[in-house]
Amino acid sequence: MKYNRLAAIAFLGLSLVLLTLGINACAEGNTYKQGKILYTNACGNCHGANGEGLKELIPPLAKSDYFAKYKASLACQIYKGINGEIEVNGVKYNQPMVGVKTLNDWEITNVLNYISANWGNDKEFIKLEDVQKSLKDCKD
Amino acid sequence: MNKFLFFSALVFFCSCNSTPQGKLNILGERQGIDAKGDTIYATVPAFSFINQDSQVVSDKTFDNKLYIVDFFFTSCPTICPKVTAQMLRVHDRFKDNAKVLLLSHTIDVRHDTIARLRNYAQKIGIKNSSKWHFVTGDEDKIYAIANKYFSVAKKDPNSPGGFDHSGRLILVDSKKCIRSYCEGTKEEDVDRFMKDITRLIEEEAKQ
Repeated sequence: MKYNRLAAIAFLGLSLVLLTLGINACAEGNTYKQGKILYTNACGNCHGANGEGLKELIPPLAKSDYFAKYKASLACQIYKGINGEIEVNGVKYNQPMVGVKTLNDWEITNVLNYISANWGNDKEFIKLEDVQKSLKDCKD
Repeated sequence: MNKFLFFSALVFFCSCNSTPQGKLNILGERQGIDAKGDTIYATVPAFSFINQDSQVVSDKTFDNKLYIVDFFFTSCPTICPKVTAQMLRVHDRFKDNAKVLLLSHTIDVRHDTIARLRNYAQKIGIKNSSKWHFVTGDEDKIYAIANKYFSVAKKDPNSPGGFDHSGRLILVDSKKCIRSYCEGTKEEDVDRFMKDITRLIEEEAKQ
């Protein structure tokens, strides 16, 4: 009887762990679906399908220290574009980036979170209000 | 009977699926028949441009070579980096074969100076201009020759970056005939294209 109860508890515990893992795995797969589509259309041609960039011409977004450093303020850079030299993972890049004017605040948020959640980046969640703040400072 | 049908179908299926051997087709409109009765094929006309090292690059540069062509501009905000990345794959695959050259034309001659082309080439790791030429020249001549390579290149204020162009890679043989092309934005299509390049190398080696 005692063994049965122990077994039941163990089974329940294991199920819970598996369930949590399962939910997480699903969340991983489904998160930022829109971000992925927007990324593919607006960013992927230059930065690559996996954020790999292009040699020393276009900086990577994968495992990018620049991305980690600027995060929410990148919204402004996406909107305005980038001119001049920047350093990413120890490499200097100087290819002008055209601003993407077609994405609104929450679309940019989704793109940023898609990038943040993938390719070895730190998965930190970027909030809509931070993106809005960055865009407001940017347009003023 | 059923077995026979099945077998025939299988043979048919296999023959359709196997990699086609032999010569690659020659593309483009036929230009008539010569005195000996042989078909005259369309060829790329003579041209003369300047590359990233300020050297003249002309049709003569590609005599007895086969080469791969594309059209781009360095400030292109759309498909160019993707196409350049695929050209780079082709370059890396055939970099040790002296018979294979690459030729990228800028379609933005005003901004893409020789210095800019050199910078672009070096940034993607192309230090040797004798293998992969990035050329500029007379705008009209570049747009005109794009047509000969089954490509579109023109100014268009409504397009991102101010230019409308196709992202094709085109394969030209040692007689300046066009033998294959692919969409330089599609990796799988470029895989197929690289097989065509290999076939052409083998075909020309036999001649």
